Amino acid sequence: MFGSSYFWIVIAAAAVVMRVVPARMVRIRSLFLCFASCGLLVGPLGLAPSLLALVCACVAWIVVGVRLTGALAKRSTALASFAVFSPILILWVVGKAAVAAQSKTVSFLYFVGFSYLVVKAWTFVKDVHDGRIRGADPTVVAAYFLFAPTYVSGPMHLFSEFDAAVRQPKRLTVSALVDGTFRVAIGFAKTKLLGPLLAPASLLGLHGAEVGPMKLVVASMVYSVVLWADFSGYSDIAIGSARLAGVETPENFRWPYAAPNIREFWQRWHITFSRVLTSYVFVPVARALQGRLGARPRLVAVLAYLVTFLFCGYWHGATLNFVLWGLYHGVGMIGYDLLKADPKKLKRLSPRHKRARSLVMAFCTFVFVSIGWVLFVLPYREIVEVLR
Amino acid sequence: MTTDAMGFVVAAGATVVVLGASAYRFRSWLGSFLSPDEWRIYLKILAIVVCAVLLLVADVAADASGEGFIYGNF
Repeated sequence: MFGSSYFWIVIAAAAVVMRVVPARMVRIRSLFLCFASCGLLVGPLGLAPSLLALVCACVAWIVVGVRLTGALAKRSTALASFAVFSPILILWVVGKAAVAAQSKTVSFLYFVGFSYLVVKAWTFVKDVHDGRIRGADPTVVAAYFLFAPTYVSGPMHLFSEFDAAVRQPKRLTVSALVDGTFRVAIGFAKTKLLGPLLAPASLLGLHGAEVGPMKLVVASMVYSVVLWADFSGYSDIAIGSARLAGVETPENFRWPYAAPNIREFWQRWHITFSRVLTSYVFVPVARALQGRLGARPRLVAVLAYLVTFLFCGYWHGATLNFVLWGLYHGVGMIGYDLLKADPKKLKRLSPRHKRARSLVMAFCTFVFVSIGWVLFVLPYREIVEVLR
Repeated sequence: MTTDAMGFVVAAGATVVVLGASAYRFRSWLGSFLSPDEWRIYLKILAIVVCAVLLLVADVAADASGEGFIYGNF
């Protein structure tokens, strides 16, 4: 989609509309974003019109559903949220299961951008029922779900962020124009030059024949860079183009491989998804478990991590590989929590020791994360063959 | 990775390092021409041009050879 000239014409038009249309006519702005996004999704992205109709039906259901369940939300917000969210969740789960089982009948339900729409739907519905969003304008809601630059792979902005950005777009100064274009250029260089350049030496270049464990580890480390270049580059283009159009979106990556531990890695990698996992999965699960298990904080944390990362794995794909990848990171987080050094002892270290320790820890975290990508890329049976 | 691509990456990397080191060495002299904010804007414009040229070269080379200049993914 980003490679099409139509996309950039629409972004230029949005840049004008968002700044020229006065703030009191926010509906005009959001309707423009809705129609322009629909054109981009069906045109350059290639989403079938019937699937776009399904997306619009989901959005309409969310808008109507949160109003219908307003009374129920006063008694139980979780129940009300689930009542609105469950039809969308069912469609998504059925689509994922169909793809995993290689069934062609309903696999069309697992279409591009649906996983992101599901996350946005859950956060929006929960925020409305919890009272964090009040009096949302339906046209802004529709623009939020359909917004083309972030539709396919994020960043997953929350509704409140999108609403504020649409109501008060930043002025398009020379500096802002250069910043936005720079972001887009860097994104293209990452996705079109750096990623493809290293891809043959990564896991993507392995073809199963004579791959030993050492080669697999090296290829996985190269793949770490390829995936970062591809995904963060895509995010750069999305953030840059959205910024040019007048819609500020949150950052998605912050030098993830410089993280000195796995917890910080998740605070730097796919940041917008990580915060959703923390606020909308980990915290509610931990609270629910606390009520049942009482004063056993370690057990609560272990179970909450496992549930969160199993969901994280499942969200990426419904096959065993992705679930194992989620479990791998969940176990990593639990291990880090149990074994992390005492902060008082760390304070006693000299600055040089602290720096050396951070470097070693960052390398260890990089290797840990890299090995995890093997589960992400190679089929389960191929990994077993290599390890045999 | 082809030899051409490897040479291309090494040359681009070396150019960036030499330019960066020179700019750092003469930072006070450069600072007398423009403010840091202005330099930031001009450097970003330069980076945009460099990226555009690299993408164009890669694109043209990919069209010329069947397999593509780097990975044939253009």
